[in-house]
Amino acid sequence: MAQRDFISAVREHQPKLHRTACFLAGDRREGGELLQDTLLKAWLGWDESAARDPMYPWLCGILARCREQRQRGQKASATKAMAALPSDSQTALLWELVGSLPPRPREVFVLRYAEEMNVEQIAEALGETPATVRSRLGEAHAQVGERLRRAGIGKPRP
Amino acid sequence: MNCKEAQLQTLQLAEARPSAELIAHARTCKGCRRVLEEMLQHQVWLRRQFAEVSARLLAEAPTVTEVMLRDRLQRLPPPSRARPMAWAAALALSVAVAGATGWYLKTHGKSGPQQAASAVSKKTATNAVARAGEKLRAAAARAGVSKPKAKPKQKPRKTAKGDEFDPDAPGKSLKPQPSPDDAAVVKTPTAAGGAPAPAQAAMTQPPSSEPRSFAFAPTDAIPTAGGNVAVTAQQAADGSPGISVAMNLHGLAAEAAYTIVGADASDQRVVLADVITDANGSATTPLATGTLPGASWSDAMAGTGSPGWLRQLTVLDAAGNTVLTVSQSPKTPAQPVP
Repeated sequence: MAQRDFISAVREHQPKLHRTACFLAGDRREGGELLQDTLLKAWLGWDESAARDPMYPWLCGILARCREQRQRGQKASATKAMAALPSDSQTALLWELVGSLPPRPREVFVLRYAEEMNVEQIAEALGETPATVRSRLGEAHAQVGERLRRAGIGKPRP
Repeated sequence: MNCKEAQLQTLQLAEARPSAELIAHARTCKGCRRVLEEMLQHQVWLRRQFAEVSARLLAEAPTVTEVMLRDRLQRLPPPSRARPMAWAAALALSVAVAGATGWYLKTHGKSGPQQAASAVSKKTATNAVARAGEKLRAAAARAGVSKPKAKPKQKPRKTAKGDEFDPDAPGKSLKPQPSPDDAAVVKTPTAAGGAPAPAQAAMTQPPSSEPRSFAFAPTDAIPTAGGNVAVTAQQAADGSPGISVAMNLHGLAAEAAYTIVGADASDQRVVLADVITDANGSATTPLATGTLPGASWSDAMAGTGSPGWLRQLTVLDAAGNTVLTVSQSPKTPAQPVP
């Protein structure tokens, strides 16, 4: 498949990929940059990936690697995310939660809740083992749960 | 399932519905049930919030076109695109430098680890080999024996009589001035073999830092072979006097192994080093001799008294044939101070 066909092939994935990029980056503008980085890398490596099916986990893997590369020179800021996204208090809390997670658990967390992938799909996308994914998800849950508990969300019924 | 396993499984809960085993445990354990309920409520909240934000983001998603990607590709900073080539160039350069260094060491006959280990195993090298290396090379340089290519045209530093040093020989002007400290630690055996008084030694001994050069004489095995030996005094780590020797050989077979042997105080043959010649048939090697039996400064320089190993210095080929010998006993140039 030629590179010319790449855009049409990824067109259906672009909105979801942009959403995940925004969650990973914690910022819409940064998410847009991350999306372009991801698609550029996918475009350049399109020939060898032509046989990939399904395509979306592969794109998510590229997205996670691009995020990691971009993050080396900058640090995600929850306040920046809150300022960039019009939201109510609960949405702001969500961005704060996502932005406060370490990079690896954040990838798993976003793919789990934003993309609604299961453990095996996340493992395939990130090139990790399911056990590693479960461990990182547990790490993310522990941190997020503590923050939500302090916010009074999800209080167990007496 | 115990509580610890249940709570770990709850934390790592990835599906909307917990496993039956976890539910069964939560029914029997109040604490675990509370943790599980809290986690499930957190997940509900998270899914709802993610769904809300996702809907907004999906609606605002930009459309990336091929033109945008091409434009982004053009805007990539040059270092990003040049980085692989830079790494490749650096790697190639390092390989070239390593190769050149290896070639230099091989062709100039510097003792490598294997030769050094061999010398040590033959009980002829000393623990000061490594420390003496620099001094040996310096001595060889001062005596003009460190460049094999220049040596074939270099005349031996002897007169036609054969046993006298030529004061006008090349390198004479390069010899350093005597050091009083060096003279004080050198002892010369008397004719009877006894040690002289320090004052006498200072008067009769050559300055210990002054290198001396001797020529190798070829045998019938390889008539065109030749070489030089540079000898200088050095103080061992324990303060005792000693000597160090560097030599170069030329006119030998290319890339062939040769053994340099001497003799100890009891005329027993001692292997001093193994060398491998380069493609031109030349080799340069340092020898450290600080603790060799009979390897005193006086024996080496004066060539008198007890059998000195330097006077029996010989180069043998792989078959054991003698190809080079020290042609005569060197004579000390030092004169007694009136």
